[in-house]
Amino acid sequence: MRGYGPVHPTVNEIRLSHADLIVKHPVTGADIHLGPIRMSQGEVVSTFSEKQMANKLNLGFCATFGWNEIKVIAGSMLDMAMDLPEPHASQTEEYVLYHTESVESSGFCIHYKLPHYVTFNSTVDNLRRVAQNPPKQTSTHETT
Amino acid sequence: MKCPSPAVGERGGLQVTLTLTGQEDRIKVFDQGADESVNAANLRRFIARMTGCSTTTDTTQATILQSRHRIPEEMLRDDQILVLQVPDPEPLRSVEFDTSRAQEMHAFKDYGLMWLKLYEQLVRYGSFIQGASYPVMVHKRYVMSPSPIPRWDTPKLNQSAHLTILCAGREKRIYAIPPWTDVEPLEFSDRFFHVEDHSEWVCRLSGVRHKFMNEIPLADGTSGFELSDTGYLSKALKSGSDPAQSAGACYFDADGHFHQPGFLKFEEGDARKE
Amino acid sequence: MPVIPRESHSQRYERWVYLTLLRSMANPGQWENFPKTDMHSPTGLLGAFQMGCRCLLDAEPMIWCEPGNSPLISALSDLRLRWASDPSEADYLLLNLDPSRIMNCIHTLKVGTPLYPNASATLLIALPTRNGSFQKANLSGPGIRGERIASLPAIDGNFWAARNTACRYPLGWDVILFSNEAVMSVPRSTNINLAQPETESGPEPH
Repeated sequence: MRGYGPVHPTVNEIRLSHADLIVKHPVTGADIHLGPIRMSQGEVVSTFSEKQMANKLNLGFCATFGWNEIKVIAGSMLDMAMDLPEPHASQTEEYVLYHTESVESSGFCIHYKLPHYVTFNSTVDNLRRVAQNPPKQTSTHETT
Repeated sequence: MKCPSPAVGERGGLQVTLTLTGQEDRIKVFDQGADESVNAANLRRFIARMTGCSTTTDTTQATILQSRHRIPEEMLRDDQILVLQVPDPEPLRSVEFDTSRAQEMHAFKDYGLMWLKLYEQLVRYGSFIQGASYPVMVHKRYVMSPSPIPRWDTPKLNQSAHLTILCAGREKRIYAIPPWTDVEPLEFSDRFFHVEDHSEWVCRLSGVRHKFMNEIPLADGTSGFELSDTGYLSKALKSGSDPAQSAGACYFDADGHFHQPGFLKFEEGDARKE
Repeated sequence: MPVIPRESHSQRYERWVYLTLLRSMANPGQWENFPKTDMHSPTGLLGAFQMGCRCLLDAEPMIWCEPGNSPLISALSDLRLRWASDPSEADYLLLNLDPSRIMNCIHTLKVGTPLYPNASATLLIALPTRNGSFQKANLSGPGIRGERIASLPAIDGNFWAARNTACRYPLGWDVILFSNEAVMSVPRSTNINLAQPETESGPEPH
């Protein structure tokens, strides 16, 4: 198994909770509360290493029925990766098939629950530097 | 029958450490600099139980150090071995995803795309925006990923006294840096590699400065700072704000100067220039 | 309680030999002593050499051994090694009778390719006598702080010069030298400066 796609996010928050399931009664039209169901929501943040999005944090989101931590992490990463402007190798058939070996990929997604605050710290340091010293606007006609 | 064990980002380092360690060893295991995180504590207990070795949180006392994402602040000696866990061993993957092509680029020292990537970052953002895993040139020949250590730790690998072994379990790749080897972060002759700027940050527990800090969000919206290297922190707490009394020599001294003068360079007009 | 596997005496000795080899590769040109032990282990030069071979070899690589070295071949027979008929196709060369026999074909040894520099030869050499002649050399490169003056065994007058010709990092071959109780490595990344070509006789400095 080889690396990961263009997105290696930091998990911001994973929420496991109950949501009320409400349906409309087919005859009376009244709302009926059928009971709570389990829900998971995941939020991940990442800078992308390519194109113009690298100087800010972007958000990926996913929600599922049931309590699935791994699934919402995977889903929110897909949420970010699918929006990338240019196709990455990880979106090709060969890469996807090779990397959906379930034991390996579940392990890879679980690893996002390990602490990443040092690497995140390093990323934030860059974001601050770019914000403090924005690149000089260079004229498009500059010839030197 | 093979037990299906998912890679959780630890397997590579664990395989190396278990190969090297025996009863006579004293190991230190840390994750993000912390000895007491759940992950580090579990690994340490597992290694100790399997090999019969003793354990420590003191960098200077350890014979083998297994780390995820950090190198200790105190200098390692030539009798110590550092084991780093690697998620992605291929430094060229961000510019060339095809592993066979990347191998050809290594073969012919064809790192043009890598330099172009850095140049594009300068043009677009005004500085390099690679966070951790900053690519390095080893022995003036191969570009290597130093594992996701922060840039603060990257220069510590240059001409170091200890042997470093890096292992990526998921990709089944292992590589090493011998002691006293040139390990240089990629930089241009006029635009330089910079470590994270924590120069204004003071550890709220020990009062220490000029080490790598964790930034902790506080309720009032501001940030507090604590030393990331908890082994060093405990020494600093023992001896007031002058850890030099109980700790060994550090890669960065009390004023934030790197122990190899001139290795880290600063542009003209940079306030951090010595 | 789970059953915890315990390292046997022979497993521990094998791990120590492995660590010794690891340290010798990390510190080129320096003799690293094999662990002293009262455990049952092969002794003498053949013993040390055998332990090194056992540590490094298995059924995968092609091995070449000097013709007529049946004691070593039979000592390693349980490893099911694949024997090469010609030195030029060998991944490992075992030389413990007369290393200079390799000199007539030394330029044919595998040095690897740019794509696969690891597809190259490793020479495992047992020094037949501890009191042979030595050649002073200046070593530098990874694993050496600045420079190191080393006494390289004068295997043949031209051996180290031939080695320098073969080694164009990252291409080249690696040399591991065994004495009775110590091992010295000279990987391809080491620069050997044979400034003083005259050889000196005398006991091996340790």
